[in-house]
Amino acid sequence: MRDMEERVGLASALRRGTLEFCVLAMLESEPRYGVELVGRLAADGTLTTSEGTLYPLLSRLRRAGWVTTTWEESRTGPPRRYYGLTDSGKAALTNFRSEWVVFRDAVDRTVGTERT
Amino acid sequence: MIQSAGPLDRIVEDYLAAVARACQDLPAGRREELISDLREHIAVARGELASPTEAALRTILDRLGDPAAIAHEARMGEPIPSAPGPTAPLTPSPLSRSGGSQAPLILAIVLGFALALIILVIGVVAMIQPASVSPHPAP
Repeated sequence: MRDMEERVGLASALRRGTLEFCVLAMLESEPRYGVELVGRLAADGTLTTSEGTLYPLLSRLRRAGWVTTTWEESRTGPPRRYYGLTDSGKAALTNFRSEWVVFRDAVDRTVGTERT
Repeated sequence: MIQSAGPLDRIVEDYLAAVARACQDLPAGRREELISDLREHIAVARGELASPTEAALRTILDRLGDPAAIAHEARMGEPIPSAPGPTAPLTPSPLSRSGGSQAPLILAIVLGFALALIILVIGVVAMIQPASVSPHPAP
C-alpha cells in the first residue's frame, strides 16, 4: 500500500513541470478541441490519471498566454472550443525541448538508465 | 438548473456539484471556470455518443475522474512563469542564491569590526589627550 502511494507520488512529481509541454506539443500540428485533447493525453494512463485533471492545467496555459481558444460549430453536437498554440507557447515548447534533452541526459547518466 | 432536466442531466449536475464542493477553497472565479470547462466537456462528449445511455454518460464522468483529484490539481495551480524566449535564463542556481544571501552578512561583520576599532581608537585618544594637554595649556 505504501509502495503504491509512493509510486503515485513519484509519477505526479515527474508530471509536474513536464505535462504542460506535452499539451503544447499535442497542439503543435493543429488546434484540437478539449474532449479530443484530454482523451489523447489520458489514453495511455502514463501522462495523467484522469481527463478532468487536465482542465486546471489548460486553464493555467490560457492564463500564461501559451494557448488560445476559439469556438467552432460542430455537426454532431454543441459548439466545440478549440485550443491552439500561440507564438509564446511555441517559444516555450522550443525552450522546453532543449532544456529537457539536457536534463534527461543528465538524469540518465546519473541514475544509470542510459539507452544503449 | 435546466427546467427540462432529465435523469441524465441530474447525474451531470450531481457530478459538477461534487467538483464544486471539492473546490470550495478555490477563488470563486477559478472554481466557476473549472466547472464551466467540465460542463462543456461533458456536453461535447455526450454529443458524440452513438446512443445516450446512462452507462455511456457514466463512462464520460469516470474518465473525467474523481472530483477530489481534479480539485487537487486545480489547487496545485502554481503559476507558470511568463513565457520565456528560447534563450531565457534559468532561475539562479542554489549556489549563486546562497552566495547572494551570505554577502550582506560578511559585509555586516566587517563593518562591525571596523566600527569597534574606530570607537576603541577614539576612546584611547580621548583618554590620552586631556592628560597630555592639560599640564601644558596653550599660551
